[in-house]
Amino acid sequence: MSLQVPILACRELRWSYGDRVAVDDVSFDIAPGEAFGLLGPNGAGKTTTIKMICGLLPPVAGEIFIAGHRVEGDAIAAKRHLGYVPHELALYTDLTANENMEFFGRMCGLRGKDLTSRVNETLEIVSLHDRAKDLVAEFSSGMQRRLNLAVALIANPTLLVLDEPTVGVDAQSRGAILDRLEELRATGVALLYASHYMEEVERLCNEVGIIDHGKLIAHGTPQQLIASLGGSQRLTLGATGDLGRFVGEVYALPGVGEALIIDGSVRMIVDDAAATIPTVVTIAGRLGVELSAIEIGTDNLEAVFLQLTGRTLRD
Amino acid sequence: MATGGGTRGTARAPVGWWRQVRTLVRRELRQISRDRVALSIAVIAPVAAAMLASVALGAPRQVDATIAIVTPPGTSDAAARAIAAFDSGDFGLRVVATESEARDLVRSGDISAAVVVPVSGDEPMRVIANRSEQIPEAIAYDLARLAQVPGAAGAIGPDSSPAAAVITQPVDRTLGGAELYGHVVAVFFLFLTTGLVARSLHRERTRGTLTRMRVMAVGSDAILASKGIVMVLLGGLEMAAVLLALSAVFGANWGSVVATVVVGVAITLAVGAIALVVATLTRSLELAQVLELLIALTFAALGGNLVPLANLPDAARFIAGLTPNGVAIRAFREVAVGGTLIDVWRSVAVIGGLAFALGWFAFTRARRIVAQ
Repeated sequence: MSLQVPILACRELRWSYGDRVAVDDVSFDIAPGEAFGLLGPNGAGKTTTIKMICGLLPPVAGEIFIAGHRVEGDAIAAKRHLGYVPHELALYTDLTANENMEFFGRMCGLRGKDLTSRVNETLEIVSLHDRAKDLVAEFSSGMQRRLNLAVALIANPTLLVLDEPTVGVDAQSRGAILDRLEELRATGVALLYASHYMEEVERLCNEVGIIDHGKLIAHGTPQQLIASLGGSQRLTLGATGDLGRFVGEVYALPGVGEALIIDGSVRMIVDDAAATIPTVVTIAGRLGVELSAIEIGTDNLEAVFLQLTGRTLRD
Repeated sequence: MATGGGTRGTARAPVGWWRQVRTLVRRELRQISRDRVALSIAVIAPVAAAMLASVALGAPRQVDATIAIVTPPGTSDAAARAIAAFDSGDFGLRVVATESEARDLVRSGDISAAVVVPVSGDEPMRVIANRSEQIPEAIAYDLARLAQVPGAAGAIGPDSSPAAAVITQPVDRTLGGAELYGHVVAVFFLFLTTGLVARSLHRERTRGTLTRMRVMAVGSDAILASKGIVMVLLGGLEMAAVLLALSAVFGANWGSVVATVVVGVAITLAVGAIALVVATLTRSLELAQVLELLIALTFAALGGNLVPLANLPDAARFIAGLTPNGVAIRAFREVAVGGTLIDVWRSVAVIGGLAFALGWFAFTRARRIVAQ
């Protein structure tokens, strides 16, 4: 955790839809130049948390400060530091890239030469300067995603909040977006990156929070979180047969931390894969379960999430 | 990589409300100018429909009709002379002694309609009409109404002199098919043009641009004000296109420009408020589109946009007087026959009041939608 003054400070945030608590006592800080990854499956509370940070939902309890300004009480000052990349493509497709940028730039208070130069700079950042005069409707989805990011950057924010910004984007465009975000981070922009793409968060973020059922159940650097598994290994078995009974038996084995059936395969977290595999194969043979593949993996955030919640990130 | 100049997060000056509204209006107009469907609904379709209606329902100098003036015993000669002053030569005018004689003539088709002059100056004039002849009936109603107009009414009194200068000129204007139906078409298409703008609220919500603007500290008041302004501008464009096209092609004369503009703005606001109410009561763009069309057709039928008011029974005419479009059509016609803003201020007040009430309701609901 950085000792710098946080650009974003969330304190004991809470939100509920009727009786259902969507966000429960969530607290975290982000310092300038840091990237905080908010990991969680759909419906875990990521988007609700982001909406509260962006001033779109008033928290039922708790406080949010952006650059020292309380979002609830001093929204305009707080929002001056904020850039928001929504999950959906929030663009006017019947306008050109340039016109979109100019419109949102004006709404942020930019005008004249400042506006023109900022539009040009930002389109250059996302490599769309050569398509500035083209209608957004004619863009590929990857280009639209990049423009979606550019609009959030138009007013030079200190905090960039991104809600699953790479959904539906091809690998090349995703790589380009992540490259730009890394560069922005290097210039001092703080990032709050919500995603269920674990590999993106691992690449981009120096700190990660795992949210499930509205609660921040783990919080730390990726290395800290992975280390919390105690050096265990992931075992993925391609298997057919009575998987329910099979999983019940292998979960009871010593050194097995988790065993789940996910997408037709069996995923396990084990202390020592080499020692566990022979026993697992024996059980499979006894129960008539046919094993088609065995894959051993090292720990990662997916494994952390699996261990903590019993669910995968894409559940 | 370019990182941008200025201090991060402080590059933005606070944006004034009016500046935000202006930017929003400019963006919306730019989008509309590129939307062929919107331009068709706002300009091409109403102008074409108005032209067709004007041609199909008769040019001003081609009305083949005879209107009777019934001057029963007891009405003064002065009254008959005053009514006769309507005889501009555009249609036949015949003086009949009794109401029953006029009724028989209308039934037999010898005359198209008749205006019955009352014995007492306090009683209203009545019209006997053949419902299958819409334009003569409308003319007869106009004659009767004009003769009742304070000031002009004196023309039918026993002791007053004919107010020919007041009456004959307006009647000449009233006769045009373009002038009779131009407003009717223009007001009907107002429902469709304002609906385009109201529905854009749904589009912005589903696209996420509303959310993005809220994160940028754009207030819902500015967003809704811009929609209102664009509605008035687009509605104004539609009405102006229809009226100017009919003036250019048929030589239609709409009367006082000021009064026409005031009535036009009032009805645009009222119809726009209705469209916004519909947009805020529906949860999807598609539903809003269907409901707006249904509402437009309902108001058009009740208010006399589909069937001329003169062709409707009394009850239907009464209902038409309760609809903003019905009131506006009458006000437009009154202005076209020589009325001024003073003559139509009540109509403007009624339409404006309705626009305010509906607009306020729509505004409070729309604010909730923007805030969601």
